Formats: sequence, structure tokens, C-alpha cells
Amino acid sequence: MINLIYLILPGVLGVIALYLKDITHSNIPSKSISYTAMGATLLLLLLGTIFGFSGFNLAISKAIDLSISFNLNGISLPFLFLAVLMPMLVLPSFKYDVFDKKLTFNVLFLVIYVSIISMFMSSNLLSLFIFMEISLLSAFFAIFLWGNESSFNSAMKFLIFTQISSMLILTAFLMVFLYTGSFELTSIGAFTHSANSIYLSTVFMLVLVAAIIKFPVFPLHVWMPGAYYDSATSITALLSGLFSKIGGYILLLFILFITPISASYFSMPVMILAVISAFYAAFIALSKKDLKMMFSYSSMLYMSLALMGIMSNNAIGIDGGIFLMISYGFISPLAFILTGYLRSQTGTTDMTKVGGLMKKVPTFALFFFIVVFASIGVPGFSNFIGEFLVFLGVFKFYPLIIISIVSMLIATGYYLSAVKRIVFEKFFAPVKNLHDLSKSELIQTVALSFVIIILGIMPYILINSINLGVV
Amino acid sequence: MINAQYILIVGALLVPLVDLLRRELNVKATKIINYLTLSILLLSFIFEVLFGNIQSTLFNSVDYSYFINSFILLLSTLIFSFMLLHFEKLDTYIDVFFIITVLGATLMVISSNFLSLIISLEMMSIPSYALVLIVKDKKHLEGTFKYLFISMLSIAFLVFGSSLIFLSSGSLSFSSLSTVNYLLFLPGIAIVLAGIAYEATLVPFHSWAPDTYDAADSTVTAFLSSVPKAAGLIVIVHIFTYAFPLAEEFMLVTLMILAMATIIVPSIIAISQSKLKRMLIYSSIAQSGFAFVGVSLLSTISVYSAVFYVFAFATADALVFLSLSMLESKGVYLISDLGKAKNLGMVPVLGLSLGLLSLAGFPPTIGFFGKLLIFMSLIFQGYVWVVIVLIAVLLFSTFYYYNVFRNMYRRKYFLTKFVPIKSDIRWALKEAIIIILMAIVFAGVALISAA
Repeated sequence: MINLIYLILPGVLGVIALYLKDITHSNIPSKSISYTAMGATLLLLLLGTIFGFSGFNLAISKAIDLSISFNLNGISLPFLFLAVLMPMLVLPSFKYDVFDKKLTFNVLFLVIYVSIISMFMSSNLLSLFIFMEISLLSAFFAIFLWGNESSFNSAMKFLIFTQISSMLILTAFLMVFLYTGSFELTSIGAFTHSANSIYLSTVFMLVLVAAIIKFPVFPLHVWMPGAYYDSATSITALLSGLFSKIGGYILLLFILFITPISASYFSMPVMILAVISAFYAAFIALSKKDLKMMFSYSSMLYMSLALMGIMSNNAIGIDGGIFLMISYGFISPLAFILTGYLRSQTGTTDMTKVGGLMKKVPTFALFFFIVVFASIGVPGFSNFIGEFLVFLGVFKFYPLIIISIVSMLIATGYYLSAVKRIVFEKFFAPVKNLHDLSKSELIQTVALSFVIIILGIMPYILINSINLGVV
Repeated sequence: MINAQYILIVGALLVPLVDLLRRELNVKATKIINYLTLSILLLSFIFEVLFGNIQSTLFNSVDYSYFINSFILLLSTLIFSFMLLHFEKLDTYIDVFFIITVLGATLMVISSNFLSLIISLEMMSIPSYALVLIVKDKKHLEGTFKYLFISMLSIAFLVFGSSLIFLSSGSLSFSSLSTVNYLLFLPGIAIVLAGIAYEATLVPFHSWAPDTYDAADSTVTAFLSSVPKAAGLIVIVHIFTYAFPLAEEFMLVTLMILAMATIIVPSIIAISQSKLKRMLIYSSIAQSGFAFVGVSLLSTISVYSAVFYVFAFATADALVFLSLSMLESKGVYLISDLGKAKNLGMVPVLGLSLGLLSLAGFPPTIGFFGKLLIFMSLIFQGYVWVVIVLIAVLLFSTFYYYNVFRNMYRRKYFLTKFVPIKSDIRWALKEAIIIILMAIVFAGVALISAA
């Protein structure tokens, strides 16, 4: 039995080790300490899935019911899997943008890692909020310090928008506390599961607006283009792969455990909003000439589809939404790693300035294909399962919403045109000698593709770990 | 039975005597007087924690009085030791005035009678005029005069309001105001509130604060913006829960409007400040508004949340201004100087960052828990719209706090290594004080149950 606190211990020890390294001025590269910590966490997670997990509880203050308690609820295992595995595969890309203060970067990375894992494991709403805020604060610094020239403005927009959503979530949590008298998820679930009132609907609406900001979904997505584009490659991968799932996770907690009846009233409007957002994102991605911008808006498209699946009021849709989120959480880091590689090799990510890369860097072209086809939803890759389940659930709820499948057609359009422009046709690039993917990049891309293909062929390993009825 | 106030009274009498002795014997060294004062303050903090406050007919401790007095004494000790390290030569009368100010603050918090309130308020304010004037030049003189005039005016208000209350209810004590003559009572409350609100820098009465705090030296600002402000807010809590429970229903709207104005107005002004110190001053005025929101609700949980929030922002203010003092000795005055100055040293920069994070309300600092408790008490009473306005203002403040981060961690400066400064024992001790404050800000969650 692996106690859940062991999952964050390697990360905390890693931060302490990095601090000690700084004091003693030793020569161990900071990244190896980070890799060791993250690898140990992954090992503990695997041991835990074999032997089982046990909970952890540390009461800090009875007066406001604050306690650090880690317990798995029905939906946390897939998110934990994403949060433990993905950052380790994303860290090697820091060499593209982080040229100074590598120690601080690794510390921030590990802090984000530990706080997001603790967030997905927490069963006390107040400690969940605290971990979420810590991760947002670290993300602000990570975006600002190693980004572009305009990274402060983007980081500030990101911070203010996500602060708004955090405050809305805090208000919702406090209203639930007022209603039930405790912050503990199990006791709240027992109290409010079959309750139905205007009060709980207000709570749900607050969380819904917060999730719309965090996903992001039109119309509160304005922070996204700046924050995704202006930050370092590995940070963008973390943002689109992990941070966008936080909103979904909290929304799921409320839909499944806390206010299920109120959530069903909001299904129709939110699904219409998700359809509008999907079309919006797809059309904008179609118009973009920059590869990184295209992938950012594409990420918004899939998050809108995931929102559609989550709000579809049946188990198939919710399973599909979760699966789509997790699978896209592996596909988009792969996409951003490839754009980071492209920028480091050619100095630009503009699709009009590069072309015909198949001739010079065939391995890059291979993984670009994998990303594009996986993202479109070709069977065999994980996104297909997610999309299929989402559309099935949506059809079961209200058949006309299936019109959103047209956004997938548009996605196919821009993806294939991107492939045509970058990979095929005549070769031209600002820089003539391009090196193919190096060993570390190869490990990253192969590992991510492996996960995507395994999830696509054997989706039941993830779907079996989702248990929608149990708190 | 010895308590903290006795130690302070004995100290206030002992220090001038020892100083007189020193002058008679023509001993030049004044450090011994400073160390004597420091030990008196430390002793009084220990006695406060162990034995508590003075008990008499004029002074009555409530359950949160021990907490407030202990942290006032702790902050005063830390700030005084910082002042010792900062100034080359501290005149000996400053020591006595410091002891008397702290004594006045601790007495104010436990007063249970308007008479003792007036006396301890004066005991706290009058020596602090001299504290502003430690360095004698024109700028400090201007700040002292502004402080002096407004303070005299407000003490006059307080006395007048107390006399109206005496006329209407027949007693000056807080606990026997049961039969009142409302015609005189209501103006009495309003005027008393106006008198004390200047001390707590609530909005229409805050105009002295930016200039005085700016003119004073940063270490004195650290003291002025934490201890007297905390004492003023706690006195308002005390008055409104014990003396004016009858006033609840119709004062609620007034108090809430005062609180909201105190939060909104300085936050907007702070955005445009280019001098770091003035921005921090306006932000500290806004913080006292947050605490005042808790006071204006007058329920049990809101009183506790207000007390905890006072502790949170007073500690954060002390931390921020002391770090600012260390940074100013390196030449940082404007916010944009933070990016340009070299060799700032890690501890002041970290102290400023942690203090700003606490003021902005990020977990796991005590500033976050204070705001959490305030939001809790607001939602429990049903004032969700106030919460929404507060959240909007919190976003303004996020901007100007994080603007400081943008300058502090600017990429060019980021590239240069931290050159270890030739250590100077005084600098190192100052850093130690800042580290102590940082520890409180970070781990003060455990004190929630103490409040």
C-alpha cells in the first residue's frame, strides 16, 4: 500500500536538494535532480496502481477546517497519470529557451509539479485551492522570466484572468462550506448529492464561469494566445497540457460529486457555448500562419469539445471528456516540443518561411505526422477514442449538437495544410543546415508517441480507472 | 503580579534616570541606553506571553487581547532592534519615546473606558511625532507637522465625542451604556469614530498618512504603519462590540461604506505611483480597509477574522518596509530602480517579495488566510456583492504588486550573479530580523487558532 504522501515526497526532496546544491555550489546538473525526483514519483505511481493507494490526513486548523488530506476520488487517477508522466517528458525542452538561472527554472518546475499532483489528490477543498494558487503563482514567474520580450504583459493577463477564476472558485467553495459546514469532499458529497436549490445552482454557475476562464473557452479565452505564444516551449507545453485540465477537474468534481442535479440544468446552454467556441477556435486556427499559434487555438478547440462531453449529462460523454482531456494532454506537449525544435533549428515558427522539411529532417517530419494525425482523430491514436466517446455522449443527449463535428473537418483542413506547407513541397528555410532530432528530443517524442498509441489501442486501461459514482 | 505594562512603565521611568546618570558621569557611549531599552521591550514581550495584561477598572482584557498585545510587543522589539542597527547614532530620548509609544499602544488595546482610551491614545501618538523627526531636516519636519496637526484635531474630536456620550449615557465606561439618550448618542458615536479613524487611516481621514509615512525614515514607517494602525483598528473593534451594540443596525451601512472606500480609493491611486515607498504606503492604507470590513460586520467570526487580518497585514507591512529600508540604503527609491541597482542582496529582495505576496493574498502566507477569513465572514452574513467588489479590487492590487516583481526580476539583472556583499555585522543582523519576519509571514497559519 503506497501512501499518497509518498507521491509528493520525491518532488519536495528534489526542491530541497536543489537548494542544497545552490548552497554547496556542487556541480550536479539541476536537471538530473529534477529527473530523479520525477522518475521516483512515476515509479511510486506505478507501484501504487499495482498495490493500491492509502490516504493521508494532516489537520492544520480545525477552526476553518483546513487539513492536508490526500484521497483518491473516482476521477483522480487519469489526471494523476497525466500530471506525473507528462512533465518529465517535457523538461528536456528547456534547453531551447532557458539559458540562465537553470536552477531557478528547475525549482519552479518542481514546485508546479508537486502542487499540481497535490491538487489532483486533495480531498479537502481548501487545500486544493491552496495548491492551485501555488501552481498559478509559479506559472506566472515561469511565463514571465523565460518568455519573449512581451512576456510580462502575457504573464500579467494570465495572472489576472486566472485570479478571477480562482476567486470565483474560492467563493463557490466558501458557499459550499456555508451550506454543509465542512471542506471535506466526502462529507460534502453525502450532504449535497441529491440536493437541489437555487443556492447550489449559483455555486455551480460560479464554478462554470471559472472553468470557462481556465480551459479556456470562448468568450473568456483572451489570455490564451498571449500566454501560450510568449512563454518558453516547455512552459507552454505545461500550460496547455496540465493547467487547462485544472478547470476541467474542478468542474468535474462539482458535476459528479457536489451538485449533479444543478449541473444537469446547465447542460444545454453550456453545450451550445462549447459548440460556438469550437467553431471559433477552429476558424481562427485556420487563419494563423504561425505554427505555435495554430497549435494554441487547436488546444482551445479540443478543450471546448471536452467541455461539451463533460456537460452532456451521461456517463459516456463524461468518460469521453476525461479521455479527450488526458489524451490531448499528451498530444499538445508533443506538438509544442516540435515547434520548439523548429524554432531552435530555423529561428522561426512561421509556416510561410519554412517548407519541405521532409528532405532534410525526416524524423521531425515523422513525428509531425504523428502529432497531426493523432490530433485529427485517426483511429489507433488516443484522440479518436476521446472524440468518439464525446460525440456519442453528445448525440445521446441532444442529436443536433453533432453539428460540432464540422469543426473537426476544419481542424483536418488546417492540420493537413500545415503538413503540406512544412513537410512537403520544395525545401526552403532561413537556415540551411538543419540537424535532425537529437537523442534527448528523440526520447521525448518517442515516449509521448508511445503513450498516445498505447492509449489509442488499449483505452480500457484509462477508462477502467475512472469510477464515476464514487467519491 | 508583574505584567507587560508594569515592565514598560518601569522602563519608561528607568531609562531617563540611567541616561541622566550617564550624562552626570560624562560617559559618551549611548549604546548602553539603547540596549537597555531593547531588553525592556524584549522582557515586556516575554511577560506578555507569560503573564498577560494589567487588570484594573480602566483596563479589561478580552480573549484576543493577549494575542494582539504579544504581537504588538514582538513587532516593536524587532523594529526597534532594526532601528538600532540602521541609525548610526540614536538619540537617547528616542528610546524613551519608543517605550512610551508602545506602552500607549498596548494600553489602548485593552481599554475599557473612554477616559483610559483618550489617555492611552495620546500616550501613543505624542511620542511618535518625535519618532518621525529622528533625522532633522525639512522633509521630516514637514511630515511631523502634518502628523501633529491632524492628530491634535482628531484627539479633540475624540474628547468631544466622548463627552457627548458621557452626557447621553451617564458613564464613560464601555460596559454600562444601557440606557441612552439617542439625540446625543448618535453624534457622539460618529465623532468618536472620526477621532479614531484617523489613527487607523480610514479613507476620508487618511490624508496625513501618505505624506507622513513618506517623510519618515523607512524603519519608522514600518513601525507607524503596523503598530498604531493595528491598535486603532482593534480599538474600533472594541468600542463597537462592547460600547455600542445598540448602534449595530444603523452603523452597518456607514461602516461598510467607509471600509469599501478605504479599499477602493488607495488601490486606484497606488497604480500610478512610481516611487516604491508611496505605492507601499497606499497599499497599506487599503489593507486596513480590508480589516475594517471585518469590523463593520460585527459578528463573532468577523471580529476574529478582523483581528487575524490585523496581525497578518501588520506583520507584512513591517516586513515590507524594513526590507525597503535595506534596499534604500543601496539606492532604490523608484520602482524602476529595482531593475537597475546592482548588488541588492538576496534577503531584502526575498523579504520584499514575500511581503508583497502576503499583501496580495497568495497562499500559503498569512495574508491569504486573513483574506479567506474575511471572505468567509462576509459570505456567512450574506454580503456576496461586497465579496465581488472586493475581488475586483484585489485584481487591481494584483497588478501593482506584480509590477514590482516585473522590475525586481528583470531579465538583465537576472543574468548577473549575486555578488556576495562584504558582510558587515549590522547588515547581517538586519537580514536576520527580516528572516524572522518572513518566517512568521510564511508559517503563521498555526496562529489562526490563537486569535
